[in-house]
Amino acid sequence: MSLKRKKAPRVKPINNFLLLFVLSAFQVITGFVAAACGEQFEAKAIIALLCLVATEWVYLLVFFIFFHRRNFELELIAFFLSGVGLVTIGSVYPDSAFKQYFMVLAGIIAFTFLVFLLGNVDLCMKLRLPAAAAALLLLLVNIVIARATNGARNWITIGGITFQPSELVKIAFIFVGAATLEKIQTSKNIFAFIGFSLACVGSLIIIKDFGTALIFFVTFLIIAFMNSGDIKTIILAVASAVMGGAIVLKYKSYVMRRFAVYRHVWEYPYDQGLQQTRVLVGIASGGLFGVGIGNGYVRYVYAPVSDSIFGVICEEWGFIFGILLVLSFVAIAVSALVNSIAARSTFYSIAAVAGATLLLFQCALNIFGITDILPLTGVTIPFVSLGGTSMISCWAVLAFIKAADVRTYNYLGGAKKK
Amino acid sequence: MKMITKRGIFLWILSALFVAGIVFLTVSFVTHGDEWAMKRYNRHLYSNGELIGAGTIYDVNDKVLAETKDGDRIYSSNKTTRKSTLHIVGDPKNFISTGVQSVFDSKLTGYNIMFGVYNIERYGKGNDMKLTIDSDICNAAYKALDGRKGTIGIVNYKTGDIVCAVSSPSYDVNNVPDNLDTSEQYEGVYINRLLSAHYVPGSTFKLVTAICAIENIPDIYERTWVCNGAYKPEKGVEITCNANHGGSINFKNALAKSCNSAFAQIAIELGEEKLNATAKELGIGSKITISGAINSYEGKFNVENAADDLLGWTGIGQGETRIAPITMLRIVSAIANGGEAVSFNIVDDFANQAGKALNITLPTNKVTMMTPETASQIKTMMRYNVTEHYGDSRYPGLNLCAKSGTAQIDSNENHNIAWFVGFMDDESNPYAFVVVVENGNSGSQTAGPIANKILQKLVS
Repeated sequence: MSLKRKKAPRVKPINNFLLLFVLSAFQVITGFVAAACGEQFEAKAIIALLCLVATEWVYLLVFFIFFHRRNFELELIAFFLSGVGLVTIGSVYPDSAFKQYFMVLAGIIAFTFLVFLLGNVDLCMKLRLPAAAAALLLLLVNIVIARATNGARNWITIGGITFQPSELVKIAFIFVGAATLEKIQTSKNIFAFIGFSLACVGSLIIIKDFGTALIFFVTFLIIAFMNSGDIKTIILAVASAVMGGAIVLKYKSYVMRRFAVYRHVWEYPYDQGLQQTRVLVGIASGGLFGVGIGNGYVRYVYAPVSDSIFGVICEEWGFIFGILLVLSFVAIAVSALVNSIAARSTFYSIAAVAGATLLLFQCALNIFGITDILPLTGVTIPFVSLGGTSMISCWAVLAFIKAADVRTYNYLGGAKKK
Repeated sequence: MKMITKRGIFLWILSALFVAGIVFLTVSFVTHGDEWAMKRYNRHLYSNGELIGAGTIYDVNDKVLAETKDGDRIYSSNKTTRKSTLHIVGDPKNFISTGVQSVFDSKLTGYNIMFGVYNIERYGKGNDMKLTIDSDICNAAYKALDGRKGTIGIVNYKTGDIVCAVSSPSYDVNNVPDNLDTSEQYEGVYINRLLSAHYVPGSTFKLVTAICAIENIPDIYERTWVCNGAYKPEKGVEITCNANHGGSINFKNALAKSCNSAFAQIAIELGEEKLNATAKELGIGSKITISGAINSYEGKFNVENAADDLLGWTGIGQGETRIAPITMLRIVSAIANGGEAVSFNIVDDFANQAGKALNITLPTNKVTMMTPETASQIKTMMRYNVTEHYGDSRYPGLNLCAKSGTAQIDSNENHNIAWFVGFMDDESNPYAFVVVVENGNSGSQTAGPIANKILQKLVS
């Protein structure tokens, strides 16, 4: 580790308050439209939105005043995405609006907690083994007591609360991957991580969560590549190929069925191609500017606020808006890459790039799957789609990118010195 | 650290691929958006399969043929109009693929990728379309067919505007018969017979043979033929004639009396190459496109390596030739118009939801089918047909030029297809027509009076 003190990259300061003000106005207006779009005014939708706006301001003020933070770009992007998701969900299922808001709140809390935790690298190194163990245990529990839902057994209900263990494992996966490889690049560490990865992907294959398995696989590739590039990389690549092959073989019939419809959705508009065709028809109907919140028909199709939410947004908010929304993930990726250059250690760099990859790749699988550019895998859009555990995990993953930004802890350090 | 930084390249590549995917989606959206929007399960535009996103369709006199009111597609208030314009307007389920509601679906909704279906939602309907057809004439034509299967087409041969296009059987969309899909009575009800029927042309094809003869046999008018009620070619079976025309029938009378013996001999003399060339020039074997979008059956004509007898049969319109009535309508239009066939058109005007006229570019190309001299000669002969054979008094004031046809499809006379094609040689009423009646035993006796009835209404 270099002892040279790194300077924060000089960027033109953005007025966070002005940005949040504009965002709040946007969220309140869209929230109001969503609440008023149905036959009767749905107060739940707008109240949930107002709660979110309040939470955003509290977060900004607390960290600006008490923690002297000045970098809020990532949070603002995530607020934007979460807000659009909440408005859409509020307009389709007003009764789910509060649940979604509480999940965003839980996500923000998890994010805040994790950012503090990641500030202490030594503690992180100590926690990597317990985290790996906890992740494996979760997946084991998932396999044992999971029940079948929608073709993928990835839900567990404990004490009336339904959650997806694989979502929490995502956090542990990046954490363990980055921490293991950063420590000392010994063969032992690398093989330990390969073993851990195989266990994770293998478990996901068993519970037939093909989409998430693919996300883990790509994240694994990124983490592996971020590591040293000699003979070990080749071993990693071979391991990757074996894992990839295993996925394909295991899912041959399943994958084949997906591929039968892939690029042929118009031939199956009433069965396997139903979601994709309705989303494409919705995108076309919305045009560039949309038909307005509540006036679309994609919202009446299967899974309108999880798989098909991109279609609902494009149809009602317009294609231009839909594209800008998903380009947010590219902004997060670029942010992670910029942050990784000046990060305090390789741990932060690897974690940030891996986290951004995970979010971007998951978004790609969703929007390109539902528009028939890639095979449909049934994953959700991070931050936007309806989800409890997934919302928390998205915010937690964002914490890895936040932690790589030197400004995050610089101000904290500066505050401590005073 | 630097190594780690460089290895971020993977995420850069992933980001680039992501943007490439977005570009691909955008390009697909721009190029296929209208196709996607026009899917039958798009509930913005369709309700129970009905194109409720379409605007109002008017006839040439601004009578409403179909409109959308409060999310329902409503057809003309006149029962006969609903039946007589069914094949042009289209049916609610879009089974009639040549109807304007089906062919111009995207234009009728006014869909565009920029605003999507927004304007349709806002106004509750799409673009309005005015057609060239006259529903009163269509109704007269439908009534004149009197329930018999067949078709009537009338076109202005100078402008190409179709005034009447009726196909029977038809049905009332407001009162769909239970046995529509099962009864023999409604056989081919979803077909616009004017455009899509595969009819044997019968003696109307003698016009084609005559045009070929005028162009290729210099002394055709000096020639005579022998007709003993039949002609036996050197090779093959005998070709029977409808009458015994005696020892020396000339060209004009051969056409007027529709002498099979004479025309079989002419066809054999012309040979396959010349007949083929003329048929091709006259558009047999190629589809006719109305208003740049509605396509007809292209027809079938093949005399390649034909034996003498088949060539003879082909020359009198029996053989293996099949044509849609509109093909014959276009040939007589060209004859009437000095040899030039103008593009047929059914769309008169287009306007958006706010009533603003929209520019539609319709192809207005002209095709020269024959020389003006040939057109003039065949026109004289068609006029002679009426004055000397069909009787001008039966077509008073029309200055009619025509040719009848009685196509045999089997040995039963009652199954004959009755044809009557022609035009009015009248500057103020430049209309060409085709009348086809199935199971009508004689062209001039069955189809002729129907043509007269409608043309009289048209000129009055």
